[in-house]
Amino acid sequence: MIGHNSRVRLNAAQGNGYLEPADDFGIGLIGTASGNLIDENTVSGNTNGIYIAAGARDNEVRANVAVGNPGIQSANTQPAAQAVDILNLAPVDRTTFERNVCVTSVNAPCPAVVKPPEQ
Amino acid sequence: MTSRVTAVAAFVAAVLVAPPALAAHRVSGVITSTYVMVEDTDLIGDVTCNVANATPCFSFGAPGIELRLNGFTITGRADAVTGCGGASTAGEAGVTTNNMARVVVRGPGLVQRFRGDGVSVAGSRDARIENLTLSTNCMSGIRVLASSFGTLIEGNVATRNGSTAPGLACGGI
Repeated sequence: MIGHNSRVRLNAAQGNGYLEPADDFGIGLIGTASGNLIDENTVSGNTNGIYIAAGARDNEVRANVAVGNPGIQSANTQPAAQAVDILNLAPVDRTTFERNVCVTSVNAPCPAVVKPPEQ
Repeated sequence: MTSRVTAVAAFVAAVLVAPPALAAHRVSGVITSTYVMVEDTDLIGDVTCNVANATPCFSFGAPGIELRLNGFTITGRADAVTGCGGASTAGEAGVTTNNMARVVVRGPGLVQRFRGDGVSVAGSRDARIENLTLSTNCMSGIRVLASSFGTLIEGNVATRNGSTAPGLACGGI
C-alpha cells in the first residue's frame, strides 16, 4: 500500500509474491506511504513478510506475526534472492516497530529467543 | 365531513406517490462491461468478469455505499493455477473505489484471478475493505494508492498474489 493514515489489522497474508525480483511481500508499505498502522496481522510464506520501502515515513508496525518468509523451498531453490520476514529499507528512525514476532529481518528488531530458566 | 374526506384522500395520494425505499442492487452472473455502483450492491451469486482489457469489473460511482459479496466469488480473466505467470495488466482490477469517499467492500467473499489488483483503493478517503479473500491476482490482493487516505483494511486473507515486473512491488496488501 502507498496510502496514508490507514490501518491494516487482523489480516492474513500468506504465499504471496515472486522471488525474481525479490521485492514482493505479504504486506508492503511502498512508495511514500506515511502515517499508517500495521497491526496484529499474520504474515507467512511470502517472498518478504512485511516490506517497507525506502521512501516510507512515520509508519508503525505493531504486534504482527511475520515468520516463514520466504518458505524453505523458495529459499533453497533461489538462494541468491534476499528476502526476510521484515525488510525495512527506510531510515531506521522513520518506522516504529513494537512487539512483532519474526525470525529474520533487516533494520527491524526481532525478539531475542530466551531460554526458560533451568529447573 | 368534507375536510375528513379530503385529509384521507391527501394521505392516500401521498402514500401512492411517495418514492419507494431504496433497495440494494443485486448482481450475479457474467459481467461484460464495468459495473458502476451508485447505491448499495449485493452479490446474489458468483460473478464472472469478461470486461475489456485493462478495465475494472466493479467501480464505485457514488460515495458512502457498499458492495457486499455475501459469500460469493468475483472471478477475473487470469489463469486459475498460474495467475498471469508473473505478468500483469494495470487497471484490470476486481473492484476499484474510483475516487469515492467512505465506500465499503464487505465480505465474506472471494476476489480472484484478476490480471491487475484484486481491490484497488484509488483516490478515496475513509474506504473500508473487510473480510475478503483475495487470491491469484496478478498485482496485489489489495492495493491502496498514494491518493487515498484513512483506509481501514481488516480481517482479509490474501494469498498467491504478485508480479515479476521489475519496480512493481506487489503482494498481499
